[in-house]
This record gives sequence, structure tokens and C-alpha cells, in this order.
Amino acid sequence: MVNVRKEVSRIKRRLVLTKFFDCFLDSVLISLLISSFLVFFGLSFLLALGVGGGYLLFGFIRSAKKSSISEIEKKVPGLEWQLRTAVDNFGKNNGIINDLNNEVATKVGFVGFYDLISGKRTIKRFGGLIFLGVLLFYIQSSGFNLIDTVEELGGEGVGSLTGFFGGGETSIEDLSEIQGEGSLAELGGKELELELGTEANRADLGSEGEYKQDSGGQSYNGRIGGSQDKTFNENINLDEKSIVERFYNNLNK
Amino acid sequence: MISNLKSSGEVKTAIDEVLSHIGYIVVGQEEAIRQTIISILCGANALLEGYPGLAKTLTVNSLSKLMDLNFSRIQGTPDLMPSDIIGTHVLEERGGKREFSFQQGPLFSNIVLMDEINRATPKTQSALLEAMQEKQVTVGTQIFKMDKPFFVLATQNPVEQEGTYPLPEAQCDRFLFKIKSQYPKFEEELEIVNRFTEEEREIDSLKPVLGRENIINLQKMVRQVPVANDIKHYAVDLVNKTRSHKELIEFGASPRASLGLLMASKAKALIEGRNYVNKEDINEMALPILRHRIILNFEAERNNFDADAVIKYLLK
Repeated sequence: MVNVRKEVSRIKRRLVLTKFFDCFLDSVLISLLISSFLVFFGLSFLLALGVGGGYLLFGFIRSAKKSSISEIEKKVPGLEWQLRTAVDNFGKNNGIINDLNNEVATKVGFVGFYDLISGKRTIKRFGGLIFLGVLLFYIQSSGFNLIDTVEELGGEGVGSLTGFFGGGETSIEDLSEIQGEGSLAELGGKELELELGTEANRADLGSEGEYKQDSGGQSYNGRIGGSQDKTFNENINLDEKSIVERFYNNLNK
Repeated sequence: MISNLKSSGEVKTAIDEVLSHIGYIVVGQEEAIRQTIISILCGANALLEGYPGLAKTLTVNSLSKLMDLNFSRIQGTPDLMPSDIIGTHVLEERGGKREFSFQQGPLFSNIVLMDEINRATPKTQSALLEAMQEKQVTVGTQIFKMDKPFFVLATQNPVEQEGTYPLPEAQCDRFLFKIKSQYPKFEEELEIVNRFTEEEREIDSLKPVLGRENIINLQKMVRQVPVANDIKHYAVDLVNKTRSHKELIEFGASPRASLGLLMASKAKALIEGRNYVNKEDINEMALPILRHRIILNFEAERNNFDADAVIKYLLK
């Protein structure tokens, strides 16, 4: 007489393993999806691993609890109602039941891991895994993130919205809102536009830097310009300091 | 003759052979024939409802030949007395002594066809009850056991209700099935015409396929067919529904219906070569098992629902 109980226990274990595999694939998918999202915003993907791990644990426990004989029957149509009948009639012994047990044991023997997993669903999951994996790799390798992209497209106010994410130097070109409009100053008959750089305050006079001082009878042919960084060191020769000071004084009038 | 049936596969082969042999005499009526066989295998009785000329007698007679069982036919009439079917004591002279001995009536047979049962008086109908349920007959102080297997197939005509005595509920409940005999399809009727106008096919030409012992063995095998707990719940739930749907059914089926439903499903599974019962077996058997056991209320009848329509609704 076939020990159908042993065979049923074996197929139940196989079903639980299938459940674990399904949950594992789902959790990897979820992790990848959340990782892509986080990397997109320049955040660490450790959070995604946590969520994926949590899903694996709780999802597996939940689905393992739900697993039943009828689920195996649904996945293996040849066993429909037979397996359940054999399980419900454990211990009974007559010719018909023995035949049923033999039949069930034989069929269960041929049921493998691949019969219990859903082919279409697994293929879809693998498809999703590959897609998300490629997407994540692309985002990581290109250094792409949403904030840079929006800024490049001229988005305004992004800095204030996503200030939380802006850890490094900003490349915002239009700093007029922060630093004010560039001033126009008349210097003799010429118009000069003074621009303030982002890293240091600098007056760039361009070609007009070739300034000839004629009011005081002195002439200066060097490049006039000043820059100020955090050390406030000015790269102006001390000998020419008076000329530069006068120039700025004129500007400030 | 087939002997010593052991597995469901062998049973299927044997029943298929019976069906093919009966097809030599009876054209169509496959469903009615299958249900009659199931009824015999369950050791129960069946009520066959159909118009005259639908091969009811021919079917039962052919089955008795193929199963090597005794067959008797009783015509229900208003003047039919219980003693006419059960038998009576007659005075006999043996060795110079006169004594009463019991002369068995036509009821003492393996297969009894009670034709137009609803034309017999309630008194005669009731005489059948004990035989149908207990498989025994009590005459005076004597109890006579019926031969095994014992099967009553009663017929009734769905029309011409004048002068009939409708079967009481208690008696209806004792029939496992109410089988509906349908008119043959056009092709089948053409085959009947061709077959029986060109050649004579005698029932006596049928040779037994299953013996009496085989039938008794099959009845035991039916009980051995295992049923899953889910199927038992489903069957009992269905019968319970007939009692709870008061909007359509005035009186539901008795627990005898649950028993019958499972037994019939087991027999159906066995003759189909399966050693387990599935949900389709229950669904298919529900109609002939329940249709004579429920009484529809006025609302259902007002909406022109018949018992089959209500059972189908319950199965949804």
C-alpha cells in the first residue's frame, strides 16, 4: 500500500518552497522599484532593501499559512479533487481508496517545482526584474537625478522645494533673485555692466578693463578687476592699489 | 458475462458494455438509462416521468436482461389491490392436509416496473412503501424479505391527471430519482423508424453482461467510493438551501436527499471510471434527486418557475 500521506507532505513542502520563491521574486521587484525611485531623487537605496526584506518575511508567512491542498489541485489539473479526497480519507482502507491513493501518489511523484509555479506570472516578474535592473543601472551609471534635470530645463523654485536634496554646489545660473540685478555704472562715456559671480564677488570689466585714467594725469594699462573670495584677499598689487580704489570710488558714486 | 469487478476502470468498461448492448434495442434516452443504472447501483428506486411510447418499459426490461435479473411489470389501475402486487395466502392441499401458503405477487422480483403508479389507489401505492424502503413485505404476521438486488421503477404520465392519485410526499421521498424521459431528437426518431420497421429486434436476443452477484458487488463498491469533505459540505449545503430559500420553495428536501445526492454522485463517479467524486457529479445529480422533493411556493409558480429552474438557480 502506498504511503500517500508521505507523498502529500512532500508536495506540501514543495508548495511552500514555491511560495518562498514567489515572495522572493516579489520582494526583489519591490526593492528594485523603490531603489529606482530613491536613486532618481538621489537618495540611498538601503530603505528599499528594508522594505523588500519586510515584504519577503511577512508575505511568505502569510502565503504559507494560506497554502492548501486545493491550491495544488488548481495548479495541477490532473489532481483536481483526487488529492483532497485522498487526504480527507487517510486511514481508510478498501480497494477503491487504495486505487485512488496509488493514482494520487503516482501523479504527485511527477509534480515538480516548475508545475507549481505559475509560468506566465514568473516570466512577467523576470521581465520586470530585468527592466528595473537596467533602469537602475542606467540611473546609477549616468549620475542622472531628477533635480539636475529639472534645473537644466529651467525649472524655478526647485531649489526651494528640494532643498533637502541639494547637498553639493548649485549650478543655478540666474541668481538675480538671490543676489540682485547686475548694476550698470557709467564710467566716462562708456557703459559698464558689473556682474557678480557665484563663487566670489568679482567685478568683471571685460575689455573696458583696459582703462585709462586721464583725470589725474596718470595712466594705467593693466587689467582692472577684483575678486573676493572667502579670504577677502585681493589680487591687486599694492603699488596700484590707489588707482583701483579710485576706480571703485568712482563706481560707487 | 463479466465477472469479478474490482476497480473503477473495470466498472466503467462493464457499464459501457451494458450501454452499448442496450443501444441495440433502445435508441437515445442515454441520460434516463444512465440514471436508471445509477439508481440500481445505489440500491434505490426511481420514478420515471414521461409520455407514453418513450421506451420506458423496453429500457427496464432490457436492463433486467443485461443484468440477469428477474423482471416484473405491474400496471397501475384504480382497482389494483395491495394483494395483487404483494401476494396473498392461498389454501393448498399437501399430503392430505389443507393449509394456507403464501403466494408471492409480482413485487417479489429484482426489478419491478410499476407502470402509471399514480393510477393506483393510495392504499396500493402505500403497499409499495415498505418494499421500497425496507426491502421487505409484511403480510399478516409474516415478514418476507425481498431478493437482492431489489429495484422499483415507477412511471407516471405528466399529462392526463384526471382519475389519478398523486403520490404523497412521503412516497415521493422514497424514490432516489425522478427521471425525466424526453422525446427523442429528430435523428434518433429517424433511427427508431429505420431500425424497427425493417427488422425485428427481440429483447430475448440480449445476453447478460453483468450477473446478479456483480450488481450486489457494485452496490458495495459504490459505498466504498471516497468523498472529499468539501464535496460533502457542498452537497449538504445545497440541500439546506432548498429549506432556506423561502421566497421560492415552500417545503425543502429532507436529509434523505443529502444521502441520495452523495450516493448517486458516488455511483456516477464509479460508472465513469473514477474513484473520487467531484463537484460536477453533485451538480448533475442534483436535478433528478431534488426535483420531486421540493414544493414550490405560489410566487415561484406565478413566475412560471418549475422545480428544475429553481434547482439550477440554487446551483449558481
